[in-house]
Amino acid sequence: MMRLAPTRSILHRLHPWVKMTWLVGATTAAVVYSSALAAVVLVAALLLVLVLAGTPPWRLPGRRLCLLLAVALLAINTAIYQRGYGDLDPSPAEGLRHGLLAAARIIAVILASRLFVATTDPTNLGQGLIALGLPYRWAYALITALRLEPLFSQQTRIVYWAQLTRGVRYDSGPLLRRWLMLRRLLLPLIASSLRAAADMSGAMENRCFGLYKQRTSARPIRFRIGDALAMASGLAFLIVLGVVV
Amino acid sequence: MIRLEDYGWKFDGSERWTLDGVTLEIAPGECVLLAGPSGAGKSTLLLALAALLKGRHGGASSGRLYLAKTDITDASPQAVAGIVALVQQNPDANFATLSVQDEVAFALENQCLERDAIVASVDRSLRWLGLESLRTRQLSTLSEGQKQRVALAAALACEPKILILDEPTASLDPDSIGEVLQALERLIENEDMTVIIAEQRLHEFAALKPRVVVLDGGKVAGDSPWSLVPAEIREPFRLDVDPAEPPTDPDERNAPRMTAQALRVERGDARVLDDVSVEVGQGEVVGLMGPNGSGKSTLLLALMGLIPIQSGKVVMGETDVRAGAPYNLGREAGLVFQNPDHQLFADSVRAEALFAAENFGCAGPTVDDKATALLEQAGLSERVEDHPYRLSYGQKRRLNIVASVLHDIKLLLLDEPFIGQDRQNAAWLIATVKRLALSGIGVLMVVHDPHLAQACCDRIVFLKSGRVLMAEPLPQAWNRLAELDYGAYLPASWRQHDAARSD
Repeated sequence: MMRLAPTRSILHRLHPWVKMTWLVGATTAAVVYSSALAAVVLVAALLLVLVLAGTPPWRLPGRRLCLLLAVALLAINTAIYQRGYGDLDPSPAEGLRHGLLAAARIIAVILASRLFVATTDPTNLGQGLIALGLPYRWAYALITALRLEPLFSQQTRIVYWAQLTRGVRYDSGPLLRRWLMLRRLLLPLIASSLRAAADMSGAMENRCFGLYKQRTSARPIRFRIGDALAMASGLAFLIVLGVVV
Repeated sequence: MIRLEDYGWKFDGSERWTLDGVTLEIAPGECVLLAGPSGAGKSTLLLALAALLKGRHGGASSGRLYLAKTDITDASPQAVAGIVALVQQNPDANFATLSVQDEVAFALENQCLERDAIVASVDRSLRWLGLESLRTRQLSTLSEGQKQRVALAAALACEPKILILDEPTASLDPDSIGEVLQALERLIENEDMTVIIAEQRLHEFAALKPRVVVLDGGKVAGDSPWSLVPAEIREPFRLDVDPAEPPTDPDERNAPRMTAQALRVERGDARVLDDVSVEVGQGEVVGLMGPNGSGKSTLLLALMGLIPIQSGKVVMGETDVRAGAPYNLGREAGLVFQNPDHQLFADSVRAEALFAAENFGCAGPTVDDKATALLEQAGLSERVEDHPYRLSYGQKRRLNIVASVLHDIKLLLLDEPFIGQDRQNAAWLIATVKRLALSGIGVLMVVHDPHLAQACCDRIVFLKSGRVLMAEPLPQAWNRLAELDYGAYLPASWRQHDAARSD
């Protein structure tokens, strides 16, 4: 779930372009670099930045699943190389390297996304995208989707609970019956989602949304020298990491 | 300011006109309450005034609708935006952004105002509504009352001439209702704004001395100043309890339907319930009251085993809830959630009524007969083949309750069942709850309106910040709440009594 962290660090104040660049850069580096050490250093750097942003990794949502996935990748790779597989000769050290690389890659991608989400105000992100040439209606499609997402999640839970209390079981019974029950789950959700979207668009139009081709902002964002330096530092770190490690 | 000349609206697929020959004039600076039963056309009229019917909802209009001297019968929403501001019933439905300041600035940004002008207007709107301290807060962290005030501030930011509110107090606790009313009083006194409010609970707005227009069947059925409004419309809902009906004897509640002891529930990092103990006896109706966000709905979910309980014990009949699965607990207890649309799963009214009974393997001729009888009591016997989504809001609520009790439950949990219900539906709900209690079912219901609690509850449990502040039978509960300085939660008659006693 996309949630802005409640704290306000220096990272929160950076222009969204900076964090978009970091996100794309870190994801690309995680995928492209083939050195396990580089991937591990990248993870360490991201963890440090997360702590600086006031969102320590031990409080991140989905941290257990992320850790479990990493451990599983490490274990699978180690096990495969331990015994050898097909044309691969047994090599525990190589298994460990591949395992670390795979685990660090997946963790790096997840942490980079989390960092972006936790430090970027969606309204600022919308403005950043508008500044890149995206029509404001599209940017607001993103912002309103983020507004509605927790609402829809909550409605899904309520419909599911309402079904449970009326004897619906998704954990047993013939598969076909369970598929039919899923239809019953979707129907009230679709109905209430359409209503919520219609109510929101009505409320937006009633407040002049779409009246003009442009709109102004009460909190305009500016790309300052500090943003340029932060963007350059992040990219430089990633390049050095690739070259040196 | 507003003139409707024989105005009508018919939605596509509907056989009747939702608004039918409405002729009405509203002068600048007037405060008008739109009253009438569910389905009378109140919300449709509000949408028409905000030009949100044509082009957004399929349908046809008749007659003319004027704003000042401009014909807005076929106007787009943008044509009246900035002049007419609409605040919908559910504040969350209004919000387009994620923070208080962004939400209040939204309309001004759309009007392409300069930053300084926007900031000045946002400051003024926040000050009007007493929201300065919440400026940078995320909307998701606000209470319902605060959200309603933010929605008002956002609507008022572009200084509209007409403010339209659709049931602004429906889901608010008495304190939050007070906050919203104070804000409205200030607006009407200081800004000379035309305010039009659709409401069921007219008595809450007595201080505004509004003109009351009653709609029924899409037509204007009454139009009078506040002082001439009939008492049965103006005053709080009261149910004449049949004196022959014996009150529940506390001594007969020796067979508790549900006992919860020292419950602690956490959601995320927050402790939502702390050391909460509640008991519901056989045939007892317990009202669960308290401010918005005090943990009432969470308690119902915990009692049904739908969310994890960190510590404490819940026993339903003889079943330990923490050891049982929710789909099994459903045999013993029914839970009716706030929104009727979230609990309709079948393709016909009859199938919906039988849905839970069939899932629990109780279906058969006896249950069929019981369904027929209950659907008749609910006034749904002529709609049994219709799809549940074709029912009115009040009818859906009735169907939810029929569907929850058909399989011989012992306990019924109701989460704010009176939201959006007109007097007729509220009366049906109260009578049904009392009938169920007489048959031995224990009832625990979340209720905000003390008049409705007075009409149907034997006992009140009051939650505050996740803890039980008070649990007393009626009428002692009202005295206790008065002592604890929760006067806003008392029925009007007890408030007067309390005030007289204080004097």
